[in-house]
Amino acid sequence: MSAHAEVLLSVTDLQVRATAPGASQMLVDGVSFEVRQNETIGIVGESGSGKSLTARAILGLLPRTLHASGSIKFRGRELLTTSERQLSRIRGTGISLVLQDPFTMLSPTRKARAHIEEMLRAADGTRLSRSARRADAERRLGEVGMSPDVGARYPFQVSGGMAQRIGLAAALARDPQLLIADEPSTALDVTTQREILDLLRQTQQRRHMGLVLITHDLRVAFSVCDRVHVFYAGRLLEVAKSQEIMSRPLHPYTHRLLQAEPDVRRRKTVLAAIAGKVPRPADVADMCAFAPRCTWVEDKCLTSRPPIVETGPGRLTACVRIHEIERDFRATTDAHDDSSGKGTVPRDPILSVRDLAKSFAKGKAEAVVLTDINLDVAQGESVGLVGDSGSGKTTLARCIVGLEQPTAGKITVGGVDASDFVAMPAEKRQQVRRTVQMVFQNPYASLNPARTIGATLNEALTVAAPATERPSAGDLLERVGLPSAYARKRPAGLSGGERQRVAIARALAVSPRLLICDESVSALDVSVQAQILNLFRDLQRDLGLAFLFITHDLAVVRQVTDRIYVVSDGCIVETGETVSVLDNPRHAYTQRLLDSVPEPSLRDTGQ
Amino acid sequence: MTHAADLEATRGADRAAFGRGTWQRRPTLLVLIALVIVAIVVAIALFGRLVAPQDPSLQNLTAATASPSGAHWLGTDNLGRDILSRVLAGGGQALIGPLVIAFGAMVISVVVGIWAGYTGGWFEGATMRLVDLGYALPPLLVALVLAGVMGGGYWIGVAVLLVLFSPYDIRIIRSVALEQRGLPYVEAARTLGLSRIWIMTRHILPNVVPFMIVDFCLDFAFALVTLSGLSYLGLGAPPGSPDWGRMLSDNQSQIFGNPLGALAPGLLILLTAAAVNVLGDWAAERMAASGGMS
Repeated sequence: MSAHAEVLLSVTDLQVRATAPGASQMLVDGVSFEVRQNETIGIVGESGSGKSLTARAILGLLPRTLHASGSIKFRGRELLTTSERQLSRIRGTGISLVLQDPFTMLSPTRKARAHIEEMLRAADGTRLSRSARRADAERRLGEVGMSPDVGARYPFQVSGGMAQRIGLAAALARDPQLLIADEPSTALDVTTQREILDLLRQTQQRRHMGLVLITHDLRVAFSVCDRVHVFYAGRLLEVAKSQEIMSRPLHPYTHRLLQAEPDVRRRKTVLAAIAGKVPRPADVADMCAFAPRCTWVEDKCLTSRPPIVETGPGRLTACVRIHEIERDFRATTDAHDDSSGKGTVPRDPILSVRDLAKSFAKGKAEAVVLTDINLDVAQGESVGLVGDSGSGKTTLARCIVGLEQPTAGKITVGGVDASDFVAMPAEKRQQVRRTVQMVFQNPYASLNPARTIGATLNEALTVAAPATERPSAGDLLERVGLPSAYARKRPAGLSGGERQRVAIARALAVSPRLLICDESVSALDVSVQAQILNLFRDLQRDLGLAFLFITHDLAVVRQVTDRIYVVSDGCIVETGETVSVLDNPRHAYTQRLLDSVPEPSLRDTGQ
Repeated sequence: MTHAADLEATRGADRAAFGRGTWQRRPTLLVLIALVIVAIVVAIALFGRLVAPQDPSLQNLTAATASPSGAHWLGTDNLGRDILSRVLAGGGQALIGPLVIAFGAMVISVVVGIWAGYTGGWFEGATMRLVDLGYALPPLLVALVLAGVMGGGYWIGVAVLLVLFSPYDIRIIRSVALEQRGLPYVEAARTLGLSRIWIMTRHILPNVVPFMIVDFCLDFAFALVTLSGLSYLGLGAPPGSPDWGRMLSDNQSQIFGNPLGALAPGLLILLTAAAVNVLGDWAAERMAASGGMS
C-alpha cells in the first residue's frame, strides 16, 4: 500500500451522540482514521465500542435518535452535510456495505440475481436491457465464486455462505471504490467464515478497492487487514499494522485483549481475563477509557483524556504511559502449558451415551440428526464436543438433559438410565436433573426478563436435594463472582457476561456433577469470555465438576478441555485427547476445521 | 462482539438516554386526558345515584323535552325526566357489564390459553378448534339472536358476549405462551425439574401480563359499545331503566327538541371506550419499556 495512493475516506474527530429532549449521550467520541485506495483496514472492538455506529455514520444510516458530528470526507467531499438524495447516489457506487446476517440483507421473495440486477446500470447511468443485466449478473456471481444457475434460486434455498456471497455480489454491482464489511463472517460456520474472508481479500486486491472490515475478532482482523484500528468504549485506542499489533501491542488494552484470547495452537497456562466490563463512554469522558480496568493505571490516566499520538511510522497509541510500561508488557508475555492434562487416571463415569440416534419427523420423511453416538464423560473431566452448526451437537445435549427424546440408544447419567425422560419415575428424573445441568448460549434469553435474579435462583434452590447446608441465592452469586446484592436486580440491568454468570449460578443451585455448556461463551466479548472460561476452570478445580463443552471454537476447546469429540453430520468422526487431536488431526473434517481458523498467514499467501 | 449484542448496547444507551425522567416514562397529554375521563366515569358509576339532583325515574310531563336550564342542566326527555340524573344513575350499569365481560374473558383466556400453549397435545387441539368455531360467529349478531330468542335482558347479553369474546383472547394468550415455551429460560426451568404449574405461573404468566392488559381494555371498550348497542336495539336493559344505550335510542326522536338527551349518553359511551383503549396501550408500552418484555 503506497502512501501515495488516493485517500478515499477520511474521518476526522467523528462523534456520535444519542440525543433526546434534555438528555444527550456520547456513543462514539472523537474517532479519526483514513482509508486509501487498494488498502484494507480493520476496525476491531468489543460490544459498545462504537464500531458499527461508525460504519453507519459513514453511510448516513444512523437511527434517527443518533446524531453524528465531526467530519467524514469521501474523496474530498463532506458526507455529513450532504443531502439524503445525494448520499443515496454515493451509496452503492462510491461506498457499499455488507452486513453480518446475509439473510436479512436479501429479500426472501426475490431471486438471487434480482438483488444484483436491480443495482446494475450502464456506464452512462441508463438502464441496461434485460438480457444485458442477466448476463452481467451471472458474470458477477462468477466473480464471487458461484455458478450462474444460483441466480435463479431464492435466498432461502441457499446456505449462509452462499447468501453472503450473493450479498457481496450485490454490494459490488455498481463497482464501489470503498466497501465496508460489518462482521461479514460472524454469523457463518467456521469453515465458511474462512472462505468469505478469503473472497473479500481477493476481491479487494483484484478491484484495488478500499476495504473497511469491522469485526470483534482480532484473529479475523489480523488475517485480512493491512492496518488495524482498535476501538474501545467509543474511542480509538491504537492504530498499527496487523503484524505490529500482534507482535508488539502498544496499548495496555490491546495487550490484555491478546492475552485474554485463547490460542488454537497452544493452551495458555493462565488465560488473562480483563477484570470488570466495558464502561459507557459517558462514565470515562475525562480520562483514559481503559483506566478503570488497567493494571498500569496512574493519576495522570484519570485526570485527563490521553490524546492519540504517533509513536512510530504509522503507529498511534492513546496511552500516556506507554514508554514507562512497555517493558512491563513484555515481561508478562503468555506462558504455555502443553501437558495433556491428567487424562490417564481412571475415574468414575458420570455420563455415558451408547449408540444414540435421533431423528425428527419432517412431513412424511424423517430427518436423521444423530446416528451411533457413543460418548463418555468421567467425574471432574472436561470434554469438548466440536462441530459446525447443524452437525447435531446441540440436539445431543438436549437429549442428555431431557429436552428431547432420543429415537434409539441409551443415556446413563450418574448410574441412572436416563434414555426416556417421560417414562422415568419422577424420583429418578429428579436425581438425573440434580446430576446434570445446562448453560445455554444466549445469555440475553436464558433469564426470564420479568423475574428478579433472586427469584430465578431461589426457585432453582427449591429443587435442590434437601441437604443440610443448602446455599442461599447470595452464596450462589458470590460463587460465580457477582455481589450478592444482585439478587434484587432484573436481567435487563445486567451485562451479557453478568447474565451468563447468573445462568451458571442457577445451574449450580442443584449441586450438579456435570455441566453442559452449549456455546456458553460464544456470544460474549473476548475479555468477558476469558472471565467465564476462568470461572469454569475454578469450578472444575474447586467443586470437581465435569464439563461437556459444545462449541465451534477450537481455541476455546484447546484452552479448557482434556478430551474432545468431533461431530460432523450427526456422527462422531474423531475422538481423543484434545492436544493430540488438534496437533495431529486424522479425519479430513477435523483438518478442515483446523484449517479454517483465521491466521495471519492468510494475508501473505493471499497476495 | 456480535452485531446483535452491539445493537443491544446501542439500545441500552438509548434507554439510558431516554429512559429515566424523560418523555418515555411520563404519560403524554392524551394519556392524562384518558386518565381523567376514566376517573370521572368511574366516579359516576360509584356515586352517580347519590349525587343525582333528582330521582332519575321522576316524570314531569309538563316539563317534557325541555332544553337545558338551571333546574335541568342537561334538559329533560319526552317524559320530563332529568337527563343529568339519568346519565349519572346509569353509570353503574353501564360499566359493570363490560367489566364482568372483560375480566371474565381475561381469566378464561389466561387459564385456557397458557395451558393450551404450554402443554400442547390434545387439549390444545380441542381448544383451538373451539376457538375457530368462536371466530366464525359474529358477536353482535349472535347476541342479538340469542337475546331476542331468550327475551332479552342485560345479563343475558353479558353472558353471551363473555362466551363470544373469550376465543379472541385465548388465541392471543396461547400464541404468547407458545412463544415462551421455546425460550431458553423456560427450558432451563424444565431442566431444573420445576413443575409445569410452577413454570406456567412463575415464568409464562408474568410475560403474558402486558397482553392481558391490552386484551382487557379492548374487550372492555368493545363490550361497552356492544352492550349499549343491544340496549339501543331494545334487547338489553329493560325499558325505562336509565341505561346509556337505551337513552341513546329512546331520546333519538327528540334530537331536535333536546339534543343532549341522546348526545350526553352517546358521548359518554364514546369517550369511555376511547379512553380505556388509550390507557390499555399506554400501560402495555410502559411494561414493555420497564423490561417486563424484551
